[in-house]
Amino acid sequence: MKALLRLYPRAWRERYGSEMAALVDDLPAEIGVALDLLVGAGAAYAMAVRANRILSSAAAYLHGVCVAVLLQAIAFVTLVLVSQQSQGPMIIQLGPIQFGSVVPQSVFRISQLRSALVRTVVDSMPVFGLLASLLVILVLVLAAPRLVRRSLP
Amino acid sequence: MRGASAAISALLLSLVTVAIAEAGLVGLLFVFSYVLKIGLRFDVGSTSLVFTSGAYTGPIVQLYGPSVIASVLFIVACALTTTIWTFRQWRPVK
Repeated sequence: MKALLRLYPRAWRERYGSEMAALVDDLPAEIGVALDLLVGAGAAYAMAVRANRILSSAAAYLHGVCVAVLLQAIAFVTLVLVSQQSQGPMIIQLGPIQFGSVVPQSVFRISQLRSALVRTVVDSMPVFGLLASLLVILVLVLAAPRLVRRSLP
Repeated sequence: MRGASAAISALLLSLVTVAIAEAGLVGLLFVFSYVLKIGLRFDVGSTSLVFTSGAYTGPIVQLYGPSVIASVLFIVACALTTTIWTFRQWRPVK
């Protein structure tokens, strides 16, 4: 259990390491204690990052990259959803610049014949599920810095 | 000299981060195309990258070169916006 203390930042270990080691010795070796130590290590790093302007900016850079990737993933899934609702091919372009296109499949199977409405709803279910999960992840990523700031002393 | 090398290191690190993010995004799109049973095709310059799962029933999404450039620019813009905002708003912890 004491090995988990190595996950803490060096400055933190130099200041509180011996006291924390004595405390961990008195605690039972349970998974709850290990989880507490892991969360504590994360909080200690968050405090160290927050205290430094350059590190804070670097963390913000990574946060911005994550948000941008998530937004693009959401845009892709939305594009698939919109293309499933439309009948013909779709072209995404800005003036003369063409970014992409969506071509619906023209394969028609008699054995899989269903009414158009049921087919659309059933086909869209995975897209809606994926879109909802991505939106939840985006909200969590956007809220994460505020949640971390609130949880720190 | 030290400042210049630090700036170059920061620039290279930020570029590598954007490249990793782009690769991650392409990986995500491949996973999505498998899950949603659609065809995915990248046409960048004279290179084509096609991904189709076994029995795809959905549409074929084609992405061209400008979409890759727009994606990189969007990631860089988002990252720089949050970085500059945080750098300017930063206050020492009391």
